[in-house]
Amino acid sequence: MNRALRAQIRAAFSYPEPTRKRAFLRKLRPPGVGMIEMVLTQAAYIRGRVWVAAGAALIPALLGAFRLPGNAARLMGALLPFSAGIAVLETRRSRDYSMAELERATRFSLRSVVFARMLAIGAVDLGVILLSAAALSARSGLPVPRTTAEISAPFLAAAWAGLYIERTPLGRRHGHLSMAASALISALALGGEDVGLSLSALPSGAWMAASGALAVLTAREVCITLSRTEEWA
Amino acid sequence: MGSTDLEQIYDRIYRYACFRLRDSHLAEDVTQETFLRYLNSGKAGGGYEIRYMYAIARNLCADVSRRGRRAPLQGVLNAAGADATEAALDGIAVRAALGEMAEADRELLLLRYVNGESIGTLSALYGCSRFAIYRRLKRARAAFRRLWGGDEG
Repeated sequence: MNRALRAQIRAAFSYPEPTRKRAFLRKLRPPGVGMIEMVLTQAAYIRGRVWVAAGAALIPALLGAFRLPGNAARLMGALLPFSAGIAVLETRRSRDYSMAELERATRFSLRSVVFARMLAIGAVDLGVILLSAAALSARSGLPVPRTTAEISAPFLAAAWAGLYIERTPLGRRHGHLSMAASALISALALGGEDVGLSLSALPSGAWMAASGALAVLTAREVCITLSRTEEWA
Repeated sequence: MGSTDLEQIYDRIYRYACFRLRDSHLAEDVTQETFLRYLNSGKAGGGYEIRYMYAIARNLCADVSRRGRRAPLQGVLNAAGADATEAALDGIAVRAALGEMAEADRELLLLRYVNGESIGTLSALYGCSRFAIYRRLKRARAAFRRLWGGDEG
């Protein structure tokens, strides 16, 4: 169909200009975004090293389930705090790269962006922990809840400590203090037995209570971090 | 999505509603209702999907037509007031040819050549394959060429 004819057809289909268009579109609110879509969108912005750190923690679990000699749970406990530490660093990324002002100008609040990122990382980390616990329990014969508590406690401790440090003035100035806390917790998880801290001898109930308490503390820190995200940006 | 894009979507839905209802006031009501219903439908996660909006507009237009609120013809069949220049005469001929075409064919021409919708959008809107849309377009063009009597090229 040639251009002239198209123009004729367009002219033939001409209608009166809409009179209420501008006023209507000005008042129109943009379409909302669902939680899952928001999390998936933000997950794409999370740096690769976060996913690598989360995935790396799976390796000793899988090796431990099949052939790694010694206590694979201890090795897991030593690796997961770094995964938590790197995840905590994601909460300050907007500040570190001076993106906060830009992100605050978008139709999503900075708080919801940070929350979506934390949810994405948290979901993957939770998956890694549960998968690891299942693999390690199959090998060691210990109950899954006990193993889950044993490997999640260092992760939760590092997440809680990292988030706590991040909200102190010193922590906000020095981004890698939370990683130092992760390293300390990792060292304790790995070498605690050697310095007389016999954590593996603790009963299952103690592990689960400790994990539960740390989960509550971490959740509280997440809430505080989210509520003050805009203020710190 | 920028305000220009939104305005374009508004215009496309408005033209479609005008075509179906032949009443600009009702068409504007339907256009705005289409936007509101689309936003409340839960399909508006990542932006505006035009095929869903056309489907909503089509249903709304059908509701309005059923209520018998069709006003006198405007737009496509309204050749009144055209100047007696060659271009205007061509325009009248085109309008007359379009007026004699089947409504479904006219709608397809409007969506494809005036609103600029893609074949993919049209196939999703009509629930048929892309080949079927190509065939229907070819048939509509042939009917138009026959009725208009011009050199389509």
